Amino acid sequence: MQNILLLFARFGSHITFIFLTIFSFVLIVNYNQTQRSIFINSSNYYANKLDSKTSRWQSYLSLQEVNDSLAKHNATLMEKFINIDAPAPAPSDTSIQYDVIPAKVIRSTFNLRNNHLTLNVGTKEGVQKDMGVISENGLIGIVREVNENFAHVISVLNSQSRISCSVKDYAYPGNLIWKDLDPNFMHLQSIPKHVGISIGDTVITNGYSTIFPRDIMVGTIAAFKVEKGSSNYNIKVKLSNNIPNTQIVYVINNKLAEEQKALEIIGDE
Amino acid sequence: MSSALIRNSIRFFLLAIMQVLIFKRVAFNWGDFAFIHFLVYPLFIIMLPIKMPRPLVIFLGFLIGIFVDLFYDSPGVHASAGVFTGYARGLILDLLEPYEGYNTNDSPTIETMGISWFMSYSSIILGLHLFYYFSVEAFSFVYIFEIVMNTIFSFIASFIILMLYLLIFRPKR
Repeated sequence: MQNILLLFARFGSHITFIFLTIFSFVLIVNYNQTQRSIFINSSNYYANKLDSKTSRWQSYLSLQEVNDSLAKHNATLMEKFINIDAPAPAPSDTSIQYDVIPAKVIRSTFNLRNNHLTLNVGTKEGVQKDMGVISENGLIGIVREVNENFAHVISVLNSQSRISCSVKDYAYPGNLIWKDLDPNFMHLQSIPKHVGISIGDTVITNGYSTIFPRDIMVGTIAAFKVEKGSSNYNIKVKLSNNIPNTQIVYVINNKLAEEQKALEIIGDE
Repeated sequence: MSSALIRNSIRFFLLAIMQVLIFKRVAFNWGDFAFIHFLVYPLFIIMLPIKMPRPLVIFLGFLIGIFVDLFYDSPGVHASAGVFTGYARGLILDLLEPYEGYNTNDSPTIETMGISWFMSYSSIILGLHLFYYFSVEAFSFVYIFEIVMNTIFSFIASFIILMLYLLIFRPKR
């Protein structure tokens, strides 16, 4: 009893304050129409807020599925887009020339001399050797090895890469190579120096190889010069995609590649 | 002690009656501008003896609040404001305590404490009371604009009335 009195002597004002405040708020909420409705509504407001927070978490957990379905959707759209410009389809079974297979990058390097990527698709999804890999904004690489579930891709950021490209609106083919160890720039060579290019022009694939379709955006011209005694430009190209930061890519299956290659081999001989 | 009890009891009823019979009916409305309300009963809490036990101050704040509430048909609103003001008064007294401490057992007045001390003391308490009262009345900080406007204009109006009261009655102790 004495302890309680001592406690009250020390904290009496706080206790009285808290007790009487609670008491008056009980009165307010029970006997005042306005405050009562506000009280009920705002408790609903906070309950709703909690609900929406929870559902946001739930949607965050399902982001994976959403991502996958969006990638699939993207792939179908890209398929349509690429095939608009593709040559007339073969009269055989295939109605369109290019298939697009969405894939996820599960490992990639970009700061070595020869860079590689690994994708989570394989023969099960229809990926074959020598298929091109692109992202929404540009080139990624070429499938080199493939097994049932994975594909090994040689990045365009590779000393070996030679990709046939053109400056937009000109048909002259050039080779896109990677010289500096900078993942943002590549070099376009063997464009003749009489072609009137300027900084900012777009570089696209020209579809001369069987790997990439026509008109895939590669990048823009950042700088160019003519070496002494050379008749070709040396063009520095700023890549339009950020390869180190790419997560979703699309493997392009050119259904007529075999046919075209076989014919070219016979012709060359 | 008994004279202090009588004086404060009289002040209690005088201020409460003034509040509910006179100032409740006074309203300045110019169109949408209805931010002026007169609350004079906080003066009762302001004028309670300095050395009075603080739980008792809080309880008396509750009492005058609930008394006013009976006439305002708002059970609890003035009472919670009175409780808060009674609690805040203790903290403000600590805050404004002179270097040598309070050397009076009576009510704080202009004569005993000096005009500047009394002005800051009473205006802080009145301002806190009004802000708390209008917050509880609106019961949601969605109406923060109305709360602040009400507080500012009612503070000016009520403070003038409080000063007039002190001028007229000139409480000595």
